[in-house]
Amino acid sequence: MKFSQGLFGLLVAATFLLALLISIIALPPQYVWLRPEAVCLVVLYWVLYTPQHIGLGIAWLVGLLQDVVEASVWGAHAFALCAVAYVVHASYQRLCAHSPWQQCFWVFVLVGIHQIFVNWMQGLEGFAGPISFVMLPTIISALCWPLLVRVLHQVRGHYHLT
Amino acid sequence: MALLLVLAVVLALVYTQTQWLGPLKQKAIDLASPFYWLTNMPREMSAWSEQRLVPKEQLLQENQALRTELLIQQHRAQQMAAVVAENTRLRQLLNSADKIENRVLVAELTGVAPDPMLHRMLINRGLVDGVYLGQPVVDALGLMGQVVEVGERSSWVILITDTSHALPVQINRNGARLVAEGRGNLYQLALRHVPNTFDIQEGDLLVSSGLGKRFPSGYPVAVVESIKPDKSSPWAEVIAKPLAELNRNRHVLLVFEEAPQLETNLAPGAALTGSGSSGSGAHSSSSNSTSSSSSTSNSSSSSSSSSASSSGKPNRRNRNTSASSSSGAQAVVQPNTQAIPQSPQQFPRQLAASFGGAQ
Repeated sequence: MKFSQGLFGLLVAATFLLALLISIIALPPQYVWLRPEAVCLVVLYWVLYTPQHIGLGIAWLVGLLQDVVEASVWGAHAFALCAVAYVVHASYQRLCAHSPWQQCFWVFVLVGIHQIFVNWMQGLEGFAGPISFVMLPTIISALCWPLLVRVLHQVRGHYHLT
Repeated sequence: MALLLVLAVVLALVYTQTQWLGPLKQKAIDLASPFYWLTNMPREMSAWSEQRLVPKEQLLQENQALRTELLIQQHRAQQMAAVVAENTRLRQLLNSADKIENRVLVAELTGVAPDPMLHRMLINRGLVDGVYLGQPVVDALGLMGQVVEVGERSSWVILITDTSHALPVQINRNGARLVAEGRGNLYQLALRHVPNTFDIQEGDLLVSSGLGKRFPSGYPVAVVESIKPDKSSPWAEVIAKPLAELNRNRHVLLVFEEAPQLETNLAPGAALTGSGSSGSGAHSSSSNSTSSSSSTSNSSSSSSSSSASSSGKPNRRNRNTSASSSSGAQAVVQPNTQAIPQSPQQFPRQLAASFGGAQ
């Protein structure tokens, strides 16, 4: 039990790290708009499928780390991730009943909320982007969701982590 | 839940509206840089293997080509020496201050801010290398930007195309002063308050004027790309294209404006905090000055707007002290600067001295 808990923590930390790296890896300027919101997706996944372990506090901390690493306004991602995690936490029983493809629509809405909050916070310092720049990564993120669910389900199943 | 959200909002407000987080920001850079280093790993590895797996013939060929280029550059530098000496003499005749060539330090790009609205990059030089807030950053072709946050071993550089950045420039052809501001597009700078009847042409070279006391004067910044006179307003819409390769560089040059050894007896440490507050204040106030000048677009002339923007830049004294404050700076900087041929600087000064002595 102890061992599997440690392994679970390790897996969660590894996915967060990987998502952070995806969110900062340098892309050519013309493809920057296609970057999925990896950190948001990973937080959604863990809160949706293991709400007993991963809650709002962790989402907030991960968001703050993302802010620090990305040099954006501190608190922007923390706020957005916490808000989205709250929505998922309140409705995970209903969301879990859907297939990953059906969840795509929910993820689209949730990542959209996340993007709007982040954009609003960035606007405090004058860096808000136009609406199409908010939408494109949201669509890409929603399309990435089934892939993420499949991969993480398999990893968790392999190590019997719930 | 509500507590966390309120905490996030308060944090964001403190971050944007006050200077309280200054020291923490400095720590944050050092926390962030390993992540960028990790994302850089694949590229570093491929570069490493490329360097190691090169045939000998190719290396020899490259070596030959570089030697030839060095010879050409040295020849140019010799001519430069004579011209600089002449310039120094003429300046002495005019009783104006001697322009000393700036020292530079090579830095490598380690990361780029992922948000496309934020034109910032992370470089692998920090306080230990003597980097200071507001330090100009150039590449081989032109001015790139300035340092906005300094960490222990890495710092954030804001590019001249960032929406919160503006710098005073001069048309090289006739010396007319203007302000070039970023538009959030890597290939465009907008020129503010250019009257419809202004003497400006497509292809004009814009150089930094040094009026903001932040960038040294005379560095090429941009080339005027398009001029659209607007009959309905007093100002034409002028777009310039930055000369520096803002998104294609791996290596950049940090320019040290003043020689730090002149002020080594200043107390270190105290200067750092002072420069921290002034530098980030300058960043926010420069964006303020941009927005204020855009709202008051009926200001009388372009020179008045340039002086307004330069007044938003930081005071000079703080920056100088921060340059001299980190004691390790000279030890680290000196070897790097020696790699750059200094003959065109040393030679004319001797000449100028002998010339002055003869008088």
